[in-house]
Amino acid sequence: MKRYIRFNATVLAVLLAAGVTSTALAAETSGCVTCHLDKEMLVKNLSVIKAKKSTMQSGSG
Amino acid sequence: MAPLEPQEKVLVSKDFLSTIHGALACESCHGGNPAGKDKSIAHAGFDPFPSANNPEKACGGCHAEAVATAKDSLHATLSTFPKVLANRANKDKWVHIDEARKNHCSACHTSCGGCHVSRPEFAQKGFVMGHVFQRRSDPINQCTACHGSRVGYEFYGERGQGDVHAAKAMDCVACHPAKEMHAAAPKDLPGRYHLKEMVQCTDCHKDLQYGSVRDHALHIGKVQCQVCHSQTYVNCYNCHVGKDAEGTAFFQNRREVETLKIGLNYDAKAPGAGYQYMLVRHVPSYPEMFDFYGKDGFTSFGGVPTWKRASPHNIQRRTWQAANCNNCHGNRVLFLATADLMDYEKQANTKVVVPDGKLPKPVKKTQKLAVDTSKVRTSMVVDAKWLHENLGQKNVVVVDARDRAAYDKGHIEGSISIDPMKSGFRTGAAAEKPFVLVDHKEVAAILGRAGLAADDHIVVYDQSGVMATMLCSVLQWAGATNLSYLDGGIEGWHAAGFHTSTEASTREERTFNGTVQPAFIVDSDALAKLLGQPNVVVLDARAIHRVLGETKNVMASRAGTIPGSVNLPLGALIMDNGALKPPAELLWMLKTRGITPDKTVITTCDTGVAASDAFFILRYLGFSDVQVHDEAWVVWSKTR
Repeated sequence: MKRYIRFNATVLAVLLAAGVTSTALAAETSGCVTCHLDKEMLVKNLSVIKAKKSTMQSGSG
Repeated sequence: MAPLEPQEKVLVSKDFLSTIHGALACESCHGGNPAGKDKSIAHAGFDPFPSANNPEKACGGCHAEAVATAKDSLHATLSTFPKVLANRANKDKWVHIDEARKNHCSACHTSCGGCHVSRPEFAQKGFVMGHVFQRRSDPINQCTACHGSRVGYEFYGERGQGDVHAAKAMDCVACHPAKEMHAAAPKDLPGRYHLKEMVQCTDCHKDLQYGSVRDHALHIGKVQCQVCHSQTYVNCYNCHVGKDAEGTAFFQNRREVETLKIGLNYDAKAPGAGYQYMLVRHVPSYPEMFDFYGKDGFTSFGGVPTWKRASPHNIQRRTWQAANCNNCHGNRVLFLATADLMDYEKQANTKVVVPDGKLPKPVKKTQKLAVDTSKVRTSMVVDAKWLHENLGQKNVVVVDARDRAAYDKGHIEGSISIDPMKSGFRTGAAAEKPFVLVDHKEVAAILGRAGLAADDHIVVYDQSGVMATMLCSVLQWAGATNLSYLDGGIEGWHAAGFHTSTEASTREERTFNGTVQPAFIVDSDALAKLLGQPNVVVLDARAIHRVLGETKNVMASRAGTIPGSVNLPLGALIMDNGALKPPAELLWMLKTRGITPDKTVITTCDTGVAASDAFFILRYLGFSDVQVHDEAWVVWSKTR
């Protein structure tokens, strides 16, 4: 656990040094999350793609 | 585990934004064009699975040490599959075999993301926690989403009692940490058990030979831990693969049997495997498995055993085979014999079969198990042979409790179809109290219309035992006086060599005329008053993940369990194909949980089905005071 905390602290330090994080987080500023945080928009725009499983499949595999 | 809805699969949680990974721009891992206002522009060059397609770039920048080995781990490469196939293969047909492997066997691999952020491909993908990365893989949504039948079911008690480690709320990573999961598999690794980083029981359970358990000192070095500590597990036979008319790949696993077999250790070079005896599981391979891609692919089929070392994830401290020395010693049925083998696999298993001369000798003086089977109501269970001999007898009525489609495909000749889920015995999902039994007069009317009378000898069967024993419990409550369950159900019927019919049978309407048994049902108010009484046991027949609150029924208001209840998953009482273990074994196992015939036992579950099943089995075993809490957790969780 200590190692994990140290690792994460290092990652954060690197990110901060690179100017990636500040009060505005990078993913938050990305246009991607405009859609991917909006459930209703996703429901409207996603075509339902059902996973294709053959009707001939049987057993637990 | 139900697949996620399309929007759920890609819906990012706001919590993600404040995580370390949320500090990265989306496109730094996924590519694409974040400035695009239209999906087609935004997704140009977008990679939905960056850790699968380029782990070094996607994850290696920060997690270089983990990615360096994990990209070659067994989870990522399945590198032992081609190795095992090559040992069985006709080298001239390798092209066909490898094509089949890629189309079918390789569907199960995973990547960093499949273990740390989303469901793996085999589980139809989708974010587990809204794209929040988890250090520990989710045992339900990730690990057992792939390792389901042979691991998840057995670990959580959807087959057998479940695993003591699961009951202690240990997740998969507790035993299988990153050191093992991220380990690179050497190219010449002969099998997964040869991975030197693989977990051993003795990593935690150290120095057992010096402990207080005498049997550890006697058996260590001779038998694999699981030989004494596992329960029955599933064995698969005769897997075929192919593609349907639309070109979709499929497999057909044609036979699955729940059993436990001890074999000789044919691979003592694997780390920590210096013992002589080990559990073996039948694998689905067989010589014609890949015939769709080319005939005669496995001309060296005898090169690899089909009964292979097993490490079932259903560990219990106390098991039936270890309950008494002679449950194992001298018990020929427990040890793999030539008679257990199909013709095609005799050569493959010559080193695994335990010859009579290597059977551990019976122990002369052993302490008898204190299990009283004298009260078992033996007439409540019949076998296929009995039913075959008594078909057509006056008053013998056979009821098929499977769904109608299964009945129409083939049923025991003369049997009538009653699907207990669709016959109106219980309230519906929209009722104030969903899935509870309706008024007994209504139930009696339904049974009468089906042509049943309370004094008929009614024999019920199905596929797995779940529906048949539930119907048996309804019939008992409604007043049926002569009732039997067909041990092993339709599979047992087929295995005994008896035929089925596709001609539907019906009976003339009669008056059921049973005396209802209200004492067989207890509602939540009455149950609440009984909690804590010394002679009352509440048996919760749900899987362990339900009881731990890791999952919940969609109808329940919350996850959880009734205070003080004892968890014994239904899978402990009925095996996969609806077969029952011997009464002495079931009574002994119940006793290990403090469930004895002298007590009042109240069975409960999520919606009353498993509780009804457990009720019937306990009645069969001779328990005199058993009651079904048919309101079950769905109602309990709404009101308490």
